Amino acid sequence: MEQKPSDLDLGEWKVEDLALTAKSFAGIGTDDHLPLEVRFLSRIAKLIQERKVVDSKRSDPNKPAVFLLAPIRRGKISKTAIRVPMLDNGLNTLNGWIWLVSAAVNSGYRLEVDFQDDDSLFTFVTDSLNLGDVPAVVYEPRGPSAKIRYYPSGLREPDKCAVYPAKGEEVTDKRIFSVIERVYQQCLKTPDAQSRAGKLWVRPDRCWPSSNAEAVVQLNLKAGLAGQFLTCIIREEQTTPEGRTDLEIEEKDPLNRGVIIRHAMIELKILRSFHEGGSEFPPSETLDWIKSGVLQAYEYGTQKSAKLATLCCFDMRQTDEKESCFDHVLELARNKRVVLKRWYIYSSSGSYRKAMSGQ
Amino acid sequence: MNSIGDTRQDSYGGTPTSTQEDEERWAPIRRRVRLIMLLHASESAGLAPIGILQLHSLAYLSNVLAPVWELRPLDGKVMKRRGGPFYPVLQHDLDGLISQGLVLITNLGYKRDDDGRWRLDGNFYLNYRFADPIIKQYHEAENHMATFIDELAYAFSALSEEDLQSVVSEDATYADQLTGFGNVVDFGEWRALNYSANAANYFNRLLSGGTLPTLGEKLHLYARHLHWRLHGTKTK
Repeated sequence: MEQKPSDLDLGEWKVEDLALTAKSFAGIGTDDHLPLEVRFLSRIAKLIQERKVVDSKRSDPNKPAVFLLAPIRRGKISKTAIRVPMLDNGLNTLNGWIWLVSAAVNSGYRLEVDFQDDDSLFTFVTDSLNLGDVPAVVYEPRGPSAKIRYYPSGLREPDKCAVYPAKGEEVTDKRIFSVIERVYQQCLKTPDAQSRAGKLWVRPDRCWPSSNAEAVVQLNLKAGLAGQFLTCIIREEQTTPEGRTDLEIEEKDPLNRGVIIRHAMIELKILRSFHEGGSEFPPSETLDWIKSGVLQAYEYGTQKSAKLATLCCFDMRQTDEKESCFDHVLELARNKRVVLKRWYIYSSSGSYRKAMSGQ
Repeated sequence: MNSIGDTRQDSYGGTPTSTQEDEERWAPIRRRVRLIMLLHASESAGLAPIGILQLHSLAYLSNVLAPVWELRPLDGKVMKRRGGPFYPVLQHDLDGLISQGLVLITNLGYKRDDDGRWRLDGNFYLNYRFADPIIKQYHEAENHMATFIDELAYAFSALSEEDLQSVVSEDATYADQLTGFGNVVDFGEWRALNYSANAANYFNRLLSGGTLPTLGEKLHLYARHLHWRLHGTKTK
């Protein structure tokens, strides 16, 4: 919404005070609209990172910390749970406790647990607390490198677990593309893979993409990237003098929390044979579209001092012409150091199977 | 039913499709749905069972910060009290929901407020056996509003219970010295000036590198700023 002059009236408040808050806390709440489990996992990872920065003397006990996505304090838990506000400031010892938290992990209920081994810790959660079915994160500081273990179905299913390095994943083009590939396989590749709210086609039988296909792809990728690069913040639709960026991966510098490291600038383009209403999208315009994507990725990346710039195309054209769509921009992309990648979106599961069988 | 106060569909001046009669007819239902949203959000954010004054604080914040999410306040005014905002109509609705079994109460007691009057005190939480179908329904029909209320509760869940009770005393609009205790704080009834929403939206101009905050981020930053004002020192 456009701001009117009266919209800037802060009454008795001063801009300098707001600026201090912005500097200290930017990034909190950027995960609104993401799935709760993704928020929970990535917020825990950021909390652990913050704790490591604050606890420079490593005073925390060498024990695991358990986080349960269950911000409750009723029944017998209410007598023993201690509420800890501002949990995310990193000032509290985390290890050796069980934490009942919300997806935002802004505060938590701390429970003391006396456990002899990991089995008794898990049993305490599943049997005594009866919280074995809620998503859980176990921070494991023991061993050569600290790990974050995520149990999406709870500690009652200990074999269903994903392990992440507590210090965060290195952000490289290969890792970004592997995340996008997973999102593509699970949520984008065919109409059957797409959720009811996230359909990419209006008429798949005629290869007519939805006009909001790019927004759907963007939302899916944002959730995927946030769930992999846990210590990073994924921002979309940021304004620059050159235009609006599609996706950015940034992170607070672990050594200097006031500094933001911009890891990657991801420009998204939908390639199409038709508009939503069925009118043709000429092939020559597609070539121009791709070229403009390379230049945008470069300009946005340069403007934001990003370490990496990439153009990711989601190809919804009638025929799969493989990577030949990039032929005319290969040299330009090399010169501008923009990494190119493309995924083909099938208009039906049948066409996908046909392509796989080589027909 | 029209979407509750979604300014993406209408304007502050009134909805083009609804009449005054419609507004009055739906108002009690809207109020009760909003109350259930607040109680459900407080549960999700770890604030439940929520104290009575904390609930009224959250209700006030859901009104004054609604424009940040391009929503109209459900109630654009409130009487300024020393003890913080208190909505008699919300309290009446809460009593109704308790008698219907939708809301449960714990730690029941009496307390004397800052004005010297005795009032019922307690902590409230939803009875999900009855509330679940309502929550499912409003998440479909009022998703934008429900997401806002959820995020608001997440943002203010960073505060201690004591701070949540008193935080509104620092709010940019409520604390404005031009409005004395016993007078009406008006930010959306006859007067459109809303310092609180303006301050939250001002974060658009303050992030490093020209970064634009998300709507959620603005609520969280506003909550952290109120905490800072309440205690006079930075939290870290």
